[in-house]
Amino acid sequence: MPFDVICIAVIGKTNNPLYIKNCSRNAAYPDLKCHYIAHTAIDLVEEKISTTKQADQYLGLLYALEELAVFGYITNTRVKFIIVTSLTDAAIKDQEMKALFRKIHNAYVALVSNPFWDPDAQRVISSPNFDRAIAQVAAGSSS
Amino acid sequence: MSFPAYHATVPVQSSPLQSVSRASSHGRRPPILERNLVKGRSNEVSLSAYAFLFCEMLSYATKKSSGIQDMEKKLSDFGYRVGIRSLELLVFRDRPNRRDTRLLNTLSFIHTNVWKTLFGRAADSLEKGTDNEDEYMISDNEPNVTKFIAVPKDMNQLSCGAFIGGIVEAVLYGCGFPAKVSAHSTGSDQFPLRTTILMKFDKSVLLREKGFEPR
Repeated sequence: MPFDVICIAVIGKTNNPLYIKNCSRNAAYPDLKCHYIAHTAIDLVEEKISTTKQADQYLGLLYALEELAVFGYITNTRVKFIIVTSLTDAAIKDQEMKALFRKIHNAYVALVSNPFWDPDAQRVISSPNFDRAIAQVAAGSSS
Repeated sequence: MSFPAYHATVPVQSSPLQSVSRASSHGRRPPILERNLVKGRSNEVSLSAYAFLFCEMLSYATKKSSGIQDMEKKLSDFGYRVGIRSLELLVFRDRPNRRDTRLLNTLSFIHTNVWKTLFGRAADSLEKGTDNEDEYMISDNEPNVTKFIAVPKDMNQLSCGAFIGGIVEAVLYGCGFPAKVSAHSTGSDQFPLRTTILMKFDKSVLLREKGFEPR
């Protein structure tokens, strides 16, 4: 079942925002709401990794707002990816979300391998290649 | 005669960002993260080319630094930059769906996977320090980065293994186990180039490990 990706966020190791992109169609959601959702998701992620013993990268559904669902994923280097989607009637399969997260991880690793991008710099990501890859992820899922 | 699947025109891999943008043009090499995990001979960098580069790095470090400590710090910084990036790549390729939260798992990951990917073979030994709880050591009998380096007599305390130490420090820091890492040459008669990386972990790491143990 196709679902709409509303927002994709990448949060760094020290919980600093690296990249927050509003992918909703027609700008239905203001950018500020995306920032707010990503911020609250951080707390949920921290809670999940401290309580569950299992060391999995995909964290599943973190929480659900009125008509939005928030999924989380954490890498070994404590970089967190958040995907916010619109809730549809059919349940969203884990496999699909995992595939999306893997694509984002792919783009992130390509970004980190750039010797000119310093992962410790705490600055927002501004690479056009990364932008393009994320836009593809957002567009690819809602077809 | 069999032709390689894609041409290996240049032995050194092109920068990954460049490859991603060329992904649409077919016939070229696929982007670095979508290649086969099993590396063929065409993906290896020649040791002599690498040794040449490392020589230059060393002479740059010697020119710019004022003493042995400073030089070791510079080499360690070089290694840090390599380690941070190779950690992300390695974790993405070799450890999907799993995170290393325990210290021992991470250490064995470094000892086998990281060493194998970077140097082509596993490290020689992983030991726990007997004097202190928080010290661990990884040794390599003949590290290929320093194989061709001869240290002059007056810089006897210098260990070019500081580069490897920097890589290990970056991997540990990235995985969430901050540690002070130093490299020492512990040459023996059998292996005169033997280098030991000493890792001294922060108190926070030990506390967390204690919390994991079953009560």
